[in-house]
Amino acid sequence: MAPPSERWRISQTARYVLLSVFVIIGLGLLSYLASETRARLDFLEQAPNDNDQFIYSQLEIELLRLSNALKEAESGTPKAIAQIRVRYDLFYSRIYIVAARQTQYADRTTDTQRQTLEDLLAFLERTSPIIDGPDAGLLAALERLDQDLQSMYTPTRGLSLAALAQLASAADQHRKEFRTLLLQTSILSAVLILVLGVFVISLMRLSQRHATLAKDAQRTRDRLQSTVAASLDAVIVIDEDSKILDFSGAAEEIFGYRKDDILGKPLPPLLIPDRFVKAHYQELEMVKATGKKHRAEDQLIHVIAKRANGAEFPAEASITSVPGKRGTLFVSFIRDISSRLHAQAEVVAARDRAVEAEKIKSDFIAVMSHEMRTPLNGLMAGLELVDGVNLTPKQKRYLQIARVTSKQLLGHVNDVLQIAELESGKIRIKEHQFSPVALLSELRDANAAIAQAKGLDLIVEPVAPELETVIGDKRRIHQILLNLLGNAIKFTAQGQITLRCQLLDETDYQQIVRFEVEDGGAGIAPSDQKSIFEDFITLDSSFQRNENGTGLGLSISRRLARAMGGEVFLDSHLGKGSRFWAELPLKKTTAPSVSVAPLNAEAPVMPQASRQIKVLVVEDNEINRMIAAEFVNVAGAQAITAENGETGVALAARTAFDLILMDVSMPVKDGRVATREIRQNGASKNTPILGLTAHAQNKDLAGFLADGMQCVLIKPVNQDQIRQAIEKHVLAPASGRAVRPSRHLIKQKTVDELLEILGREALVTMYNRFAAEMDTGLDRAPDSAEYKAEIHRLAGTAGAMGARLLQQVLAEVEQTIGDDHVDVALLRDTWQLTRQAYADLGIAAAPTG
Amino acid sequence: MQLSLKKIIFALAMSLAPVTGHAGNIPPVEGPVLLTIKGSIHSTNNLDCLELDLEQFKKLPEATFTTTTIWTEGEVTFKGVPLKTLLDFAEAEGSRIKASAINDYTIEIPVESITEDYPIVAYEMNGAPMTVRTNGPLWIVYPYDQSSELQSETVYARSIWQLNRLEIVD
Repeated sequence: MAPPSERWRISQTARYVLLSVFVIIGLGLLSYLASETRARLDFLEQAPNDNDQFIYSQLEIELLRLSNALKEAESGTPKAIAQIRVRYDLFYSRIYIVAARQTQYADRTTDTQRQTLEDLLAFLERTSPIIDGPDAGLLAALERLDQDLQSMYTPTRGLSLAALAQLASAADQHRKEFRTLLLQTSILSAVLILVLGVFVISLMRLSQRHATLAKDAQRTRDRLQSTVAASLDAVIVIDEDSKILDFSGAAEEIFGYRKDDILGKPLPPLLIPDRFVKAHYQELEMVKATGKKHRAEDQLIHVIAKRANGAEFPAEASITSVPGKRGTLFVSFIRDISSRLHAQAEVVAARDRAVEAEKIKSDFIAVMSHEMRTPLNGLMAGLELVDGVNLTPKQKRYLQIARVTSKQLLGHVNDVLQIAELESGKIRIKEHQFSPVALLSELRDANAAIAQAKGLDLIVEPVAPELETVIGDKRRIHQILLNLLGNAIKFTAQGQITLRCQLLDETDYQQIVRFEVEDGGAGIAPSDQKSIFEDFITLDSSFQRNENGTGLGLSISRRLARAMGGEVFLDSHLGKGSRFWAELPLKKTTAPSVSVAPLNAEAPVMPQASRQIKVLVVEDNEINRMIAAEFVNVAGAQAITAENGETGVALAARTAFDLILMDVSMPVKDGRVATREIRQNGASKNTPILGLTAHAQNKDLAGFLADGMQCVLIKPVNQDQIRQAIEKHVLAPASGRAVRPSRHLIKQKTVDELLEILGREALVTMYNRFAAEMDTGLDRAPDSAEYKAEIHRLAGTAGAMGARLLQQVLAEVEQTIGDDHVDVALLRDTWQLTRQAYADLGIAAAPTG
Repeated sequence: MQLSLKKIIFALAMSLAPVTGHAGNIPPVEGPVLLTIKGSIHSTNNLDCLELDLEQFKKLPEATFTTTTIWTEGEVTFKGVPLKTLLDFAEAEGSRIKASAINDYTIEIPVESITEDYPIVAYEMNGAPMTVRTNGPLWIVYPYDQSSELQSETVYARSIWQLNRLEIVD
């Protein structure tokens, strides 16, 4: 349906047409009537009719006069006789006039009238000889003539009466017709006047509407003007030849020209730096010629503009093309972004500083972790070993104190470092399946003794079947609960402590799970309830002997919970007890529950080796060396020690060990160099080497693996790890089980999932494509923009494929692009290792060379 | 014939006509008088009247036209003397002419309505002199066909036939 103005216009046109037709018809009718009127008027002017009456009455009179004359002639005087003749002549002429009349208006003459005329003519014929004859004859015939004449009297009278009647009716008829005519004319005129009146009114309304429209247009124009004027962006209108047609107030401000000065002048030489002028004209030419849109149309472009004083500044511009009267007009909006760019630069600088600070912090963590934990490692391990030997009760007690305090110290250090880690956001929440029931049971078992000692009942409530298995970071949830439980035990004098796990809410993908510790202790005063979550706040200052006396436990728990997307809550009433709980969103598991071995399982029985397993321990620190060696012995293998890299290399060259434990940081020759050398040649060329280090960042890991290590263990290393290492790297391969690539290199879980979803063939294809991309990517020059994008993409793919270390190295490379030093070599090495790993898994062909 | 006093005086007067100026400078008619003009005129031939016969009429400048009339059939041709000429002949001084017919029908004709060409005092119709019976001997006629103005009541009324007297008044 046409818009209102459209419809209005159409009906208006229709109306005009209608009116015009009507007027034309009306005028036609009017002119017809006018001509009719004229004809009638003409007829009236000629007025022949009225004369009729006179003629007939005159005839009557002459007849009577003749009759008189005839009577008077009885005297016989010559005068009287002459008079007869005169009167007769007059009578005669009248009759002929009537005859002429009747001929002329034969259609109006009645038969009676014609007959009367006939009679009169006959009379004349009869009597004219007598009149024209001698007087005597005339005198003699007088009476006869008179009688004859008398007989003519009545018909003659009839003539004039008939004429009168005719006249009357004709006149009436005429009058009627004329009246009708006039009426018709008047009515038609009235109607026409009405129509014209309507016309006039229409025109008036039209002009009114136009006035309104014009006012609206003016108002819109004004509003537009003020909008443009109000805009802080410069609004400049140019024509096809780049001549400036309009220049807003903001433009004046930004560019420093006055509108009056700049109108009509060409834009490029004034507002565009010289070196870009040509490009501007070319672009405009292209737009004019091809009709394609300007590149700045529909999108913002960044340009350099020039102010009146010659100063150049960065600007954002966009263009709209508008059809104008003579060709296209271009309306451009220009914003001076120099301040924005400046602000951006500042932000970037601040970010760089922050990144730098982060780096410093993480370096600090790395250093601290090494410096603090290494001696602690030694301390604790030593104490552990000492414990097994025969001791006197006093020694045992002292030892216990030492062990407890060292544990405490380790705890403090761990706490501080963990907080630092959490604060720096470096924490990575793991996700794996576990059973909440098992978790709670572990906690109960671990703390059963202490609880019992205090006379407290430690209960685990049954868990709903929907919570049989969940997906989450078990270790950290364990830490939180351990803290909460520890607090509960610490601060409850008697009664019951309950551990429970409840499902609060669930969606298709998530479960909100609450892990709770409830105690029947003294409760916490409302004023304290907030502050206990703060760092270093503990309500119990007297108790120094327990695990987490730093006052950091709750704050760490809360941080951990938040890191997992949840929160820790407290509900406590003085005298009634407290409930602490963590609400965590956990991923749902649809897989059937997997039986997970609980933490404190019995140590698996070491499968017996057919011969003695020989393990080389290379460690410069005496204590650590001792400890490690002891661990090896306990695990059932023979430990041979070397106190530096040099010796280690020598020993390895001579003997084919089953496993080498290589400390990384050693003087003279560090572990990496030693590893490389061992890999060169010697008896232990193919022996699995495990690096021992207190800190391992990604690039270190990659380096270690590239050097030839199979795995890296973080110090302090415990017995279990040594045992597992032997199991994994010595026994498993020996019994024919597949060597799994270092967990640093490949995230096995991801690969397993891919295998399950895609199938081996598709996975191989995917891998091959990825390998090809890696190879091409590595060949590129590291300083192009495409390189960064490619690296980024490859990092994603690597992650998807489970190439853990490769992904991390790629991510680091991506970060460092732009700095001077891009560690391409590291990337290459990592790729090589990864490749080998995939080959080991049977997904890739073994790399050549 | 008896010699009347009147006749003697008249003869004497006539013989003295050339001496006495206008009055009586037109010879008296010999034939039957067709038209008698009296009133404010200066040319006379019978006391204070001017009498004209056919001979006299024929001596004056003539005018002819053809027209139809409402009293005749078809077109007729009238020959006569323009009324104006007549007035000049009579040296008439007046604004109105009272024209009368044999039957005493009288009509007034304003002098200003008279043009050089019409009306004429016609004495011949279709080449023949008119008798009383044929609306003659004199008929004031207009060329009716010439214009619709000459077809009005007034003009018809002025078209006096059987004309025998003109009286100039005012």
